[in-house]
Amino acid sequence: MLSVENLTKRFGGLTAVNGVTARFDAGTITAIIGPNGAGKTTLFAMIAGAVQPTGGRILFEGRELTGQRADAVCRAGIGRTFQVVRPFWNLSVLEHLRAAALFGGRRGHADTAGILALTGLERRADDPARTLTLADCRRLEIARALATGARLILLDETMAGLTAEETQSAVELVKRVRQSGRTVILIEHVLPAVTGLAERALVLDRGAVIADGPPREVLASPVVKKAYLGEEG
Amino acid sequence: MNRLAAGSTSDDRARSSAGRRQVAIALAVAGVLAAMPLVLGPGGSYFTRLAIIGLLYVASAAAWDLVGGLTGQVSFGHAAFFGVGAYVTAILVRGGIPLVLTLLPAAVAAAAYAAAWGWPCLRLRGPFFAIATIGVGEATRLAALLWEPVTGGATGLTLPIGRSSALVPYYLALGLAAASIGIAVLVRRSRLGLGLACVREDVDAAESIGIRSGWIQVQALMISAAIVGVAGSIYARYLFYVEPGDVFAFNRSIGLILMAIIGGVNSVWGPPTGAVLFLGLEQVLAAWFPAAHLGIYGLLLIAMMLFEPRGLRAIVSRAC
Repeated sequence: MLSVENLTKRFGGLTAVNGVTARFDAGTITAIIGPNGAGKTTLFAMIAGAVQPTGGRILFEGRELTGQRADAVCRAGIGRTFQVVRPFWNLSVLEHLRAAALFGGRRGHADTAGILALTGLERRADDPARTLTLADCRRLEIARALATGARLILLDETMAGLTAEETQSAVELVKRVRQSGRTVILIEHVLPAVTGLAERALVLDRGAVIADGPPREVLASPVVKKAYLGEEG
Repeated sequence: MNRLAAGSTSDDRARSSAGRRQVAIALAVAGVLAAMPLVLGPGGSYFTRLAIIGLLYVASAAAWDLVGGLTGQVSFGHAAFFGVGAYVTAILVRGGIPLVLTLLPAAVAAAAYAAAWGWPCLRLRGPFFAIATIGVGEATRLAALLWEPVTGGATGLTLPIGRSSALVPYYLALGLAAASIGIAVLVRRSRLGLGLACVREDVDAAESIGIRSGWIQVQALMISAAIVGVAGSIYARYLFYVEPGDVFAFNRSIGLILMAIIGGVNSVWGPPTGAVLFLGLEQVLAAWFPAAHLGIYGLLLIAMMLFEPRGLRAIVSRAC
């Protein structure tokens, strides 16, 4: 569905992402993990079109997306959430979905009732985003991404800052998103959530892929332990 | 889901009844204004002259708010559109074309001018956009001043005074004010309005749902410019004289910002209400404190921003 080839991003002398090549198959949940500064968010931003790569290619459903701007990437079928939530604070939940459907959707309409039910936001439909809790804001961002009609959803640390209970319900939500036929790629720091959720983990360290496979195996591998915990790990 | 559906319908009902009341009030005001010159007869020329200016303010303030309020991009350069419209009409009327036929070219010219500088400038946000518009406004005024063969330079251009009545600009201004408020309502209810609201809230998030943030803001600026351009055009016919120092004046741009802030930014009725108050204030202050009236505007602006940045609209809605 999505493949990146030799994707590279350099900021001046710093190489944030260094020649990452990976394929993401339709209907899967893949977690991108790695220590701070590993290049996860930069990789995400390049796929989403928010940051332009220095080198390499991005192909989505056979289409070249390299160099496309964020709005074009969205219309091609890739939705995203933000690491620090960025809802439209003064717009209601329903207005978020309407806007997403009108601008991101192919035919301008989305199953808003279905998306509200899926994300558990029915009761907040008419409330402005500024009145929502952090957990609800994260749900809103997922709902907004779904309403664009996206077939691939990029989730940037959807569990960060949530309570244990909220994390559990976020995990359930991501599972429902996949069940609804979407492909999910997520960045996550909450590692227990990753093992229960993703069938594959891609570990980045210093901009390069150091491990790729089922989360349990990957997390147990010495090279990953070393990257996370330092030399003695 | 049932509760949700019931809740939204009663909300809709409340909203639509408030909407109907607003439309009724607006139609009544428009009716009274339309009848005024006939009621006052020849003795009403002071009223007519004042009302033309006021109605052009109302139209321009509502149009300014499409960019300054709805899109959240404060423009200090709207006088450029007013001047372009005024000059297009002046030049065409001098060429023998009837006034009414110059309104559309004035609107198109102003919108085209908006697209030309809006495209690069609207990539900037907040204070950077505002500063860029100051530059554009002033550069336009200077260019008009220096381009003497076309604009008449500092001397300006005089329009031929025909036999048509002073009521022609009055009714044109009334029509433009009504159209501008109508457009403000329609844009806010449209796909364009929703997209602009998203851009105002967060550009990156707006782009992440497929909004072409540059193009959508240019569209808002072009609509806004077209209306202000027609206002300039009617102004040229009203005065029979255009001159860069007047139609491109920086004070015109500042005036629009003041009107919107006094009345309440980002609303349909705030800026037009602010425009009427500004007109009254301008008359009083210019008569009583001819030397200091600009300073008093400044103090008023500071007071408004300090005590109620959402404008009179907020004060009124609290009182009611």
